[in-house]
Amino acid sequence: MPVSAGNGTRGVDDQRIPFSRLRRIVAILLAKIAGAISRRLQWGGGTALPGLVAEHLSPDLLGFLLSHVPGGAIFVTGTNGKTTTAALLRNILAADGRTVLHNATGSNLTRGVLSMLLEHTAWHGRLCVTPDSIAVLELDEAAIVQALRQHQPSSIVVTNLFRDQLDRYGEVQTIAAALRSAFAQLDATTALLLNGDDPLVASLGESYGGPVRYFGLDDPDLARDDIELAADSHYCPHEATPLQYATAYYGHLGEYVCPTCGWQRPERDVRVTQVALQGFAGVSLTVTFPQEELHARLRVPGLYNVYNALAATTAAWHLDTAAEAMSEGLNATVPAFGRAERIEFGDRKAWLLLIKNPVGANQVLRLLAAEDGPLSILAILQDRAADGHDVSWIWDVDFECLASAAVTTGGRRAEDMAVRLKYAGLQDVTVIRDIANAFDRAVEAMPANRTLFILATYTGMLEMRRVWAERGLVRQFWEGEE
Amino acid sequence: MKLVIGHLYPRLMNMYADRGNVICLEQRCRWRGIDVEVRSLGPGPLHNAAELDLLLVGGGQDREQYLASHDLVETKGSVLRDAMRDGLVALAVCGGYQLFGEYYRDHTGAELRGIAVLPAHTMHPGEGSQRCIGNIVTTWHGIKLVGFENHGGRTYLHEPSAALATVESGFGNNGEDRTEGAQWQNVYGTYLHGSLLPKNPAFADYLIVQALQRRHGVASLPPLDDAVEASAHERALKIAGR
Repeated sequence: MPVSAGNGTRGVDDQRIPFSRLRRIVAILLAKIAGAISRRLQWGGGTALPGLVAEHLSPDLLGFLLSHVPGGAIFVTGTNGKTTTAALLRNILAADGRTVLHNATGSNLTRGVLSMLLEHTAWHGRLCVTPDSIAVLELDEAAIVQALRQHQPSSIVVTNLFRDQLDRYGEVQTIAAALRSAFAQLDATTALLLNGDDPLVASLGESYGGPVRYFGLDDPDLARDDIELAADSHYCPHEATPLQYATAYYGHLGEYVCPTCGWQRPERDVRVTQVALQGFAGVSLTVTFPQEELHARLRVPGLYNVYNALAATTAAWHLDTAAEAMSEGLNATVPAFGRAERIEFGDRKAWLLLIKNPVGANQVLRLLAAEDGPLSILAILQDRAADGHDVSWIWDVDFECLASAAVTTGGRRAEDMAVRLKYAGLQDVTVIRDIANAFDRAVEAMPANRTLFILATYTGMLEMRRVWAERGLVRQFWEGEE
Repeated sequence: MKLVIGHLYPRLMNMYADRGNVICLEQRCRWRGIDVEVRSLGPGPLHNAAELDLLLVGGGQDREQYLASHDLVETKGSVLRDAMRDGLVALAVCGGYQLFGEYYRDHTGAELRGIAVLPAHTMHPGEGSQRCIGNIVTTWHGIKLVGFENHGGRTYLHEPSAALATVESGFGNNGEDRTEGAQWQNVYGTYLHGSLLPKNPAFADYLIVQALQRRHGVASLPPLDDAVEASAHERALKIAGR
């Protein structure tokens, strides 16, 4: 059995307590059976159930399995960009010849990670790994705190912290406080890789005893005049003073300083120094490391994905990955599940774009506003648990920039979206709650050869894909994916 | 004719997108040919309070609410109280509502002073207590108001007649006495987000009329086509099970 490279399991000693080993074997067996049944009965892709079963029967199984990954684990967390950052990093490490364990399906709770690990585990509890295996795990802001109680990763990437589904996650300051105290429990061998342009994320590195590396953007051409209204943490973490921004990129990301205490953006180790945004075609960019520069092309669009590429290359740089592998991995990555996915049907095209909080949605709208000509849009607003029951957040999204677009609204809260668009000055808005019908109507109303842009909250995105699957559009659909 | 809207702490106190209320008032005036000026009122002294026709404030995160309360009480308190005593129309939502009351006692027992224009105080029942989260429907003068609430503090009115509305479903002020919000003169406090005014255009117009009446003697407004707003209102009632 391969031995762990210094990444110890906490609170488990399988030598002295044979019962825990027995329990683990039973847990793995039952979880595997549950997964097989769930796939057989087609209860979804079986991404959560095996992990859920295993977690209940053997609460420390995640830590046990991860301690047997020779290269250790990298945890990726933050509000926006977790899935894409993890996918970029996975592809970079794969291009470098590593075997990567990765929860690719976006199931970012501990049970999702566990389900993925169980697929690589034999029934008697041995994880099938090679000496170059490494785990890249996306964890949401609450799940990472649970995961850190069981396993100490080699590094933790924090992409950003924005306001997100308040009825589900709570205030962004509360999330930062929970992360800070979880990091304080680590024994300082873990490296924190932090977005230095995000004041709240940067402040997580201040009191940390172990190594901290920062990444950020340096391209004044991309700056806005002022931080956007949807920004959340524009106050100094130490003083009751608003931060002053010399440069603001989006949300509360930028170059900031506190006029009272002088606290400011940290020196950043890895920077993107040049960006050419090419609409939906992607981005070309220059990443500057302390010793070298990297020119690369991204196939994921928008400024927000520049930050994701930066987070991924920083993690790769921290592992001494070769520049060629970074470049290859960045260029190999296509948008993850529902995040700027393209489908084609007949002579028409559609882009499916996930929106879930004001800062992220404004970034997507910025991409749309850069497109030529009048836009055809389908906006799907849902209020299920995974979307957040509260739809108030759409009033913080700057839909005013779409004033000339033709929009169909769909989903459980289609009417709320229509009201928002009316007050944003849009004249051409049609409400059809049923998502399949709304899609048909949007396509019908669209001139030939036009592209339909579909903005959807999480469950709306899933339902849109389900409709396409039922209609056999799925094959074309999956061709765009890995 | 012009309406001057003061948006109090647009950055500090905008956690639940309460700027939707400002957008709503602005548009409903413009569609009727009424000029609107929106003034952002951040921390610092408040000049020309007498020029304001309508004042709006939303909710903030705990830390921001603390910063805002300090400025509200120490710097702006007496000017605002005078203006509201003089008939200024004001709408305070969630955290802003709590700060318009007498005090807010947080989960540690520490007290945050409010500007005491609304006859109410708010207590947080302590760490680990349930927040009041979910869709809410209330009745206000026979009209249903719909929204979404998300608050840890429980607000208690000093006299039952001060309630803005009666809870049909949801928690309201405290989840006990079926009162929602509070009212004093032309000042209204409520826990309803959503944003509140776009889905409740009758309440939005009521505020506009009150403000215009005070300065311009206007008693009513020409009607607008509110079909889209009405369908969102209906949908919210349905989802709330009402």
